[in-house]
Amino acid sequence: MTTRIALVAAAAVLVAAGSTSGQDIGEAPTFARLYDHTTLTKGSDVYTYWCWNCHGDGPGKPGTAALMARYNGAVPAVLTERTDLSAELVKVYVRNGLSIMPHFRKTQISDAQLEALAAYLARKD
Amino acid sequence: MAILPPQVSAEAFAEAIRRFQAVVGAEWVFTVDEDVGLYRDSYSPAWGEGDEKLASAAVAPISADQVAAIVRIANEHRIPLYPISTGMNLGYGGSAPVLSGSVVVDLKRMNKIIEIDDVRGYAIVEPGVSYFDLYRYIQDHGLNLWIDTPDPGWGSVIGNALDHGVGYTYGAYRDHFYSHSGMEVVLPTGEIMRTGMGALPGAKSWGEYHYGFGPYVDGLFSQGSAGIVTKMGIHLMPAPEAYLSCMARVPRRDDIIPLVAEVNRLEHAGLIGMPNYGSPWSQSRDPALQALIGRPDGWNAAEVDRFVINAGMPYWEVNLQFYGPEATTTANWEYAKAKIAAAVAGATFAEVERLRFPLTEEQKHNARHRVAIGVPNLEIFFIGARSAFNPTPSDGHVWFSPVIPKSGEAILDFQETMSKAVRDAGGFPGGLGGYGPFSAPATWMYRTFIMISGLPVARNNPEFNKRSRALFDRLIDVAAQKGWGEYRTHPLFYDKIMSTYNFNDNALLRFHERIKDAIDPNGIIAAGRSGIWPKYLRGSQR
Repeated sequence: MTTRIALVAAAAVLVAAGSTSGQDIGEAPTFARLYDHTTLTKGSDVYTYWCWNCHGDGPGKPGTAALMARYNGAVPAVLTERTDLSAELVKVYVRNGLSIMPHFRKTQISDAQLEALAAYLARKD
Repeated sequence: MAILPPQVSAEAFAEAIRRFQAVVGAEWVFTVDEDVGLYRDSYSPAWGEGDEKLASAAVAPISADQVAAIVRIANEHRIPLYPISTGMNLGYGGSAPVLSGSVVVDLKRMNKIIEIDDVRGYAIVEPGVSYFDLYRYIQDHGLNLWIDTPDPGWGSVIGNALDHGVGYTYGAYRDHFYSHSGMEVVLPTGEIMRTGMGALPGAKSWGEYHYGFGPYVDGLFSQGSAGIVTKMGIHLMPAPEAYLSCMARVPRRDDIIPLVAEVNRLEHAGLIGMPNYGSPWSQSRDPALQALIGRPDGWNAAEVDRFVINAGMPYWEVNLQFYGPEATTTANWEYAKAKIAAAVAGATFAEVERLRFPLTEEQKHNARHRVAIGVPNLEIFFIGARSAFNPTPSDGHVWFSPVIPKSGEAILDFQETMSKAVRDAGGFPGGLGGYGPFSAPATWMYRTFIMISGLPVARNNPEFNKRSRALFDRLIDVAAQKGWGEYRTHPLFYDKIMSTYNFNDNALLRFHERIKDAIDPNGIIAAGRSGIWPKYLRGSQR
């Protein structure tokens, strides 16, 4: 487990916590083409554009680390590995935020994109 | 509708909304609570209280012409507007307006990369373009460019520059306002203006030469309320061949003074990128050390220094970053080692990471400090996120970001002064954070240090937030007495902080107000931004 102290955080003095995500070495998705969020229609693309950087696998993912600390392995810390998420729950978190995760506006993730994202994260495979 | 703009009737507001809908389409005017609520500042320390900053509605144009039409309509109906680029700015106000009742002009849909050139090294972008977008565009098109990204990387290139945001590479690039070049702005009258070389029709150098001709006005639009920026040029750095990250460590507390002096020389001569100061002790939970730091009458510098020396671990460290051809990065590291070793007895050195570009996606993803190699990410949210060390996370924070001189003496003075200020105020809310004998400066600014601290926010706990806000107020006062002023802040503290920049009976603020009155007589744009209020609100809001 690598302890990763954000260098800014060392100065910042809020708690600079160590990553507890599942792996030290993670795979990066292909997101080079995802530079226009308004064009996204697939739930997986919406996830990669907006969610992966915090909730994906590998180092430097605070959302994954937070879910690891919250559930202590009872459910997977990486969102795409969860099989217990409902579409409705995903939508609630996206529009309301939680802790330091802010809520997302409709100019960022439209209602149609949120439907696609929620369906993608609620899939059971 | 929960709230209206001040001094605007429900009828006038409804008519303005109808006309906004005609400009952008009904889909892009948000008026129901469920949608307007998404413009709340999710880190607001006033969440749910009477002074929380709330929008009355939001409108999301797709072009500068639409922005201009919105501004003209707002003038007719006296509707205050508050522009946001991507509306992130977490810890400094988020997407909420300064004046409650304003209509937020949300520019996130305006996300075109207008022009980009990897020979001359610039891009021209719209406000909705995030650092992720620009980075991915560059990667996708195989351009020989790096961006300088802030933390986190999902903010707007334009919005960050306008807020004096900062990044992590070379000084000239990581000061994002400094590295901007030319703007397109919708003025408070609805007129569209371009600055710099953008003002010369047919000029091809908009993204290259900052100034154009005549008085430089771009600063009026940074942390300002003089217009809505709809395009901006930004300088971009060439992708280097190699990156070398190294660490220098020094044993004693006072060694920070010669260490900073040497590192300043290296940086100002262009030999290193951003240096990162810290202390191996900053996260220590050693009970004996904690007892020393937590003494009721305050920590004693000599005692802490003795503890560290006896423990045999360095007091300070600085991470040095070198960019360029591999041979020169190595040579510059050798030079840096020699200079620091000569200046500080007992200094030690270690190489941390050596990268050669281009990297694969896997290599980038797993690099130690991605922002240092221009790769945007969200790792900064480890600050405050739930973890084993922080099992009950806050709901955000507000950043206290004072500017201090770029010297070791100033760091030591700040630590002692502000530790006492926090102690005198009854401690840091929640017991986490604050200042102490290992507080290190943030070095994003090329020519100064920022001693940043995040004061925690607990949504639905007004008493907790009250403590954070009271401490913030107190820290502003104590800092100002020492000549330390904030570079950026949350809107709840705009007026207070502007009041500390008060040389000659607030000559600066009075000048801002004269400009505001002249160019925005109806007070349409971003009322209250940086403590600059339009005339009709000056008595009631400040």
